[in-house]
Amino acid sequence: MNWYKYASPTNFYPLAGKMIPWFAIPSAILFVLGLYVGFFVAPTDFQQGDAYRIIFIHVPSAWMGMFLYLLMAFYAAIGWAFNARLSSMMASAISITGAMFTALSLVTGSLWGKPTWGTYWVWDARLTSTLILLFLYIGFISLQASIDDRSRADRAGAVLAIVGVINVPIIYFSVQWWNTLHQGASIRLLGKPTIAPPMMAAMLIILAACWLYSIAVVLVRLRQIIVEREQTAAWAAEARA
Amino acid sequence: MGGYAFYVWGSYLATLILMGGEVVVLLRRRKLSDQQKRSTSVVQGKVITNETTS
Repeated sequence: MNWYKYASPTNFYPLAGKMIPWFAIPSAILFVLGLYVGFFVAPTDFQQGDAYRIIFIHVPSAWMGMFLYLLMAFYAAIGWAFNARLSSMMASAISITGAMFTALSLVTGSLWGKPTWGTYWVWDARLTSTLILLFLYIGFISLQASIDDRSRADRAGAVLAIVGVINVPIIYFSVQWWNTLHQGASIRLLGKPTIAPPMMAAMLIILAACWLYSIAVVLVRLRQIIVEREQTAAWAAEARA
Repeated sequence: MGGYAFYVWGSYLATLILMGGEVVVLLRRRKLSDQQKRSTSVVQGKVITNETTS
């Protein structure tokens, strides 16, 4: 199978269309399953009561915001370095979903902060660096939208996305580097998680659902971007002829 | 929800609004683009017809 064939937007378009239901349907199933486990199987927390159930959407959305930023920067860099149009289009397609998840993590974190910390917002390291991540997404989207020349817009967006990558480890390690109100990581790569197995299961199921949702939505948006950009390219070629 | 209903349901409502909103905006964008494409092809069709008949 010649994979390079799919680096062309025209060839990737039908493949993306076929892939969408394979991600969208399992995503919906996993969301229902994760919410069931989170609300009916996971016990009430002995310290936070039922307020902790916000974790099932807060943590996956925060992770998605960070992962999608890295992915967006990766595709933007590939698009810039190799002049690969599809990669730049992919970065544009990811940006809105990444911004949505980052905004969601801030909103749900704020709603969790009020009953546990007594305030919706504090200017602590984790919250502020996550807010900066949202501004980076907004900056990327705005920058791309403000430049008419697509290749220049992609290059400018790539520079911003790559520079902004520095913020992701800052968000992740902020709870270790500074004294913050935000709690430390509940799940570690090395070592045992600090939460009960049913709570962890619900969180991981919803995380998987969020990944599948993101892939499905990004593919739909990517197809839309391909249609819009290729249409313009065809129109421009006709106009020049 | 032990007195935390506003915060818990508020979070899931925000999730529904943001994720659902993203899907709705995306589908509307596609619909608009399809309409634009159809109207453009109709206009182009008229131009071609005029050119061939003139």
